Amino acid sequence: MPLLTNAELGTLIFVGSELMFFAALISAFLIIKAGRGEAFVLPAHITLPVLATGLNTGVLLLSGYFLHLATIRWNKHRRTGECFFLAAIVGGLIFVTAQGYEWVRLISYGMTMTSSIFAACFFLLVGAHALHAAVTVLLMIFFYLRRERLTNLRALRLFWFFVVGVWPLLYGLVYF
Amino acid sequence: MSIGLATPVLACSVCGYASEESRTAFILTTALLSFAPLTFIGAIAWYLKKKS
Repeated sequence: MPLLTNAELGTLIFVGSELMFFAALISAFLIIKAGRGEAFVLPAHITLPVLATGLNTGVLLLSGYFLHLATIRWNKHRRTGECFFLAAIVGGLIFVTAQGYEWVRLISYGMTMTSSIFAACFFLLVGAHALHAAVTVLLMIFFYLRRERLTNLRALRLFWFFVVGVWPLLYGLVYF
Repeated sequence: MSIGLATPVLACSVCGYASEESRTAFILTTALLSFAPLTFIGAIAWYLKKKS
């Protein structure tokens, strides 16, 4: 077996470009935050659900771990591998749904892209990540239904690790 | 006329900073954007070397 399959190499190149995309977003956030100083705050009477999102972060990290377990069991213990894969999908779905619910609540309280510069940055950063998470969860469901080959599953794991790994950084930056 | 009207400007955002906090942010993000791809490529190279 080669050190890297074509699927993994392609995913790694894609992850590299995504890494720079998020690095640019984080840079913009930090510079705007530093430039605005005291004015870089939430709209009045709105607080971010720090604890709920913290728990949601735990679910996302668990999902990444479950996908890892699924990958290492995929060929030899298929039944266990499928169970872990399903657990990873459920974890991803919980994360995306909870994020969606949080957005609906925030928008209902009047926090939109145009409310403040912080709100614009919040929706841009968290939204970009949520979009990546949602698309990857859909891919996981697709892979699960197709009983995809291990090489492709490993490539998917690489991307999910990136999505899972970048979230605690965004969470720490935006929510605190 | 262009030469006559031209005045020196500070094009570098680190040199022409508005506040110390902004300057720190510019330096930090410059480092982030410079070292992120190098670290990423280095990590892949290290992983491949370890596996081979």
